[in-house]
This record gives sequence, structure tokens and C-alpha cells, in this order.
Amino acid sequence: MENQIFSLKRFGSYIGKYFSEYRSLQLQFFVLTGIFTAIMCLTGGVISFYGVITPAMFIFALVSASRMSSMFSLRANKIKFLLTPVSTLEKLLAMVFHLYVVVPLMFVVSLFVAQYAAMFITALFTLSWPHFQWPYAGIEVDASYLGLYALSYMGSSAFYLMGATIFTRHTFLKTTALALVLSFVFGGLMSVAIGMHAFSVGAFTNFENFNTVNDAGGNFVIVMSVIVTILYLGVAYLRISEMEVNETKK
Amino acid sequence: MLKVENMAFSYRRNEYLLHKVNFEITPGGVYGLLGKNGSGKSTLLYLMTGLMYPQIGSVTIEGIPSRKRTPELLSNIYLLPEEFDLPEVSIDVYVKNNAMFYPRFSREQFDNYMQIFELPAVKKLSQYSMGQKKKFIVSFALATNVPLLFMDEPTNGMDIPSKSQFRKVIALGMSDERSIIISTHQVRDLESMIDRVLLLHDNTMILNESVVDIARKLEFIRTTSKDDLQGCIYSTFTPEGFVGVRPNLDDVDTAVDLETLFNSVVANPQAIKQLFV
Repeated sequence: MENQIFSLKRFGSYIGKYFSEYRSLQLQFFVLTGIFTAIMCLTGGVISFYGVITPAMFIFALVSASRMSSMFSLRANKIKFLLTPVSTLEKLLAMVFHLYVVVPLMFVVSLFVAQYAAMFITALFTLSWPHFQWPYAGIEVDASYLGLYALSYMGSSAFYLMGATIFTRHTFLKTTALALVLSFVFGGLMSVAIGMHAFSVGAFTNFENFNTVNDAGGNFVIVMSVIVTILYLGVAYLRISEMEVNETKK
Repeated sequence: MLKVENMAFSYRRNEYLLHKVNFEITPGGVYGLLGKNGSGKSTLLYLMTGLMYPQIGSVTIEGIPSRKRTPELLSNIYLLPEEFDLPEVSIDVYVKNNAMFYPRFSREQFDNYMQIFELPAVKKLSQYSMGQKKKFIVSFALATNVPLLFMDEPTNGMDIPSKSQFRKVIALGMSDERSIIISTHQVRDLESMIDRVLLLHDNTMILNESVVDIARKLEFIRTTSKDDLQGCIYSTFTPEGFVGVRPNLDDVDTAVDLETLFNSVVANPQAIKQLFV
């Protein structure tokens, strides 16, 4: 008998089904690529990683996480979701895979496509030869902040995923409100630890703040971020495993 | 196979929708789950499939509480809800995406059911009408060959020819290893198929009998003369004449009229209870 908590074969099948039936993935990719292409056309192929890409990726991931509540908001969808013969862990991991792998990958690919699309469009409008560059040449990244950014991204996505399992209506707004309340209650340090403050534009642009956090918080911040992320995912797991259909009226 | 023991469920505190419900689903047979609007038919289906949890008692499938919803358990049951949503994919993609979770799924049977339902080939499932979607999902559900198949109002939205096609595919899809539990108001649609009647009334399962036993214990009368209704525990006038039910004291062989049976249970539950003790 297959393992009832996790089976790679079953998980692989579920991932295939999940993305095959996810209606808007292609549309999202084209819209994203279009926006990046437009920005790159206007800026001559240069795009700010922390100023544009990361906020866009955060908002995209948080909205995607919130939209996962559509799987539980309508009774028909909820029945389909809960009765699919895979374990709760596999169902949760598919969502995590979406947020932690597919969304970043979508950004990486769309930036690649946008760079060359912008190059050809610019050449077309200026009636000159395309100016070839290495992939991602127009993106300047300070690698020292990537770790903190990744932790922040994972924490925030997990928080909004948890929100999707708690609030089935107006998920994004309610989860954001909860995030603000929690930030207020637990104060600045906790906010940093759970990656919440990265959601604010100031956090993306104020690099000195990141340095301060790195210097002061050090390993504690990293450990706390990981713990809090796991905690959010744990709550989401428990919510899904205890989910009943009578919670929704429709 | 499926066992419901001393089960009680309520949406509101101290106001039980279902109370002291006991029954068992054994392999082989079509179970008709009948009851008035709001009697808890859909709720009972959700409780049996682990989508809701009873406050008291237990619901187990092969000894495992249905609320655990393990992959093994879920691959042995299939619930066709009254309302459902199909993804915007082709028939082949849908089958490929979902059949892998049901080890006994038969593509051959699925194609056969689709043929019986006269479903046209479409690029995307969204091109089907509501009735066609229902027929598609019924075909898929039957082809999974799960031992426990639950259907909530399966004939809703089906036209008249589709209802006879439905009866045909159910008859084809039946086997000694599987049970089909159908919750419905449309008793006439399913009358000829049901092997056992589960009837919900007054917050409990008031009747859980095979059609054979019902026919043995009750006599169903259709007559134009009121005088023939003597001894009936329930009778009424219909456009075709009088219908009634009385204890089958003379071992008369009559076909079970589910609508009359249902009305008699609602009108005179005590008499029915006493007969089937």
C-alpha cells in the first residue's frame, strides 16, 4: 500500500492535474511579460530588481496565494478539492510549489522573454539593429540581500496561503488586515521575522534597513523567519485537514 | 463496507438535523436515499464521504473513519454532487488528470457510457450544456469503478431521454462489489433501479429496507374504487384514481410504488415503523 501521507508518484500526478486545470496561468504569464516588456522599452532594457521586480513578485505571489481560497469558497470546488484522492500534505505542497517554485520561475522566464522582446521592439521603433546583450543584463542585483528577500518572500506567501484557508471571502483584504494587526501587536522585530514589513514599499527600497536587520538580527531573524513560515504552513495544513463543507453557504 | 453508528449531526447547537442514525451499506446494490427537502439527505452524503463530521457517533468505511480522508479511502469513494464545476480542459485531459487517482478506472467503460449518453466530442468541457456536463460526470464517476459511489440528485437537469439513458448506464455500471447511493426527489426516475430504500424523516432514518422486503410487507393499491382502500395506512386520490398502502396480510405481490411509500411514511410514520420492526 502506498504511503498515506506522501507519495512522490501521487504528488506528481496531483501537480500535473493542479496546473493543467489552473485556468489563468498562461494569461498571467503573458500579462507579466507584457508589463516587463513595456517597462524595459521605456527604460532602455534596464529594470530595478528591488525597486520593480521584487514588489511585483510579492504582490503577484500574495494575490495568487489569496486566490487559492477559490478552491474552498464555493461548495462545489471545496468538494472537488477535499475528495481528490491525495493527502492533505500533498494538497498543501502543491500550493507551496505554486508559490515557491512556479511564481518565481514565471518571473525568471518572463523577464528573459521581456528582455529580448523589448530589444526587438526598440530596434523596430528606432529603425536600428537590435543591441544584443546577455540574458538579464539589464537587471542589477545585490546578492547580499537575496537571502533575506527569499525568507521574506516565503514567509509572506505562507502567511497569505494560511489566510486563504481561513478567510474564504475577501481573502486578500482580510489577510492584509490580519497582517497589519499582527505587525502592530508583535512589533517591529516580529514583523521583520515574519517578512511582513517587506510588503511595504519602504522595505524594498531602504537597503540600509536591510543591513541593519542583518547586522542586528543575524541568525535569530533567519531562524525566526523559518519557524514562523513553518508555523503558517502548519496552520494552513490543519485548516485544510479539518475543513468541512458546511462552512460555506453556497 | 460503510457503517454509520449512533450518528448525530447538527448545524445549530442542540438542534439535531440527524439523530441516532444507524445503518450499513453492504457491497452490491443501488440504495435510494429519500427524504423531504431539508431532511438531511445531502448532509448525510457529506457525512458518509467525510466532508462533514458527526458530533456524536461514527461513520466508517472499511473500518476507517471517513473524516480521515486518506488517499486510499478517497480512491475507493466518489461523490457526484448536485452542483459541480468542470475545468476548461478537453475530455482526454480531464480523464488523464483524474483517472490516475482511481486504480480501477476503465477508459473502455467510460467511452461506452459516453456513447450511451450520446455525448458529442468537444474541444473543451465548457462547451457542454449543463445536462451534458452531468452526463459526462456520471460517465466518469461510473467508470472509476469505486466500491462506493454517491450521487446527489443525479437526474436533475437531465431531459427525458437522458433519464432512461441514465438508468441504462447505472444498470451497466452495477456489480456485486460496488454500491451506489443515490439521493433524490425524483423517485419515478429511479424506481426500477433501487434495491434498497433509505428514508429520512423526523431527523432520523425511519426506513432502511430492501425493496423485496417492502413488497413482502406492504401491498400497494391502485384502484378507481374507494372501497378497495380498506385497511390502508395511507391513501390518496390522484388523477388516475386512488392509491394506497396497507399491510400485506395476504402475501399479494405488488410493485413497490416509491412515491406512495414515501408519502405513507411521512403521513403515518408510526404504522410503518411497527411493520418494519
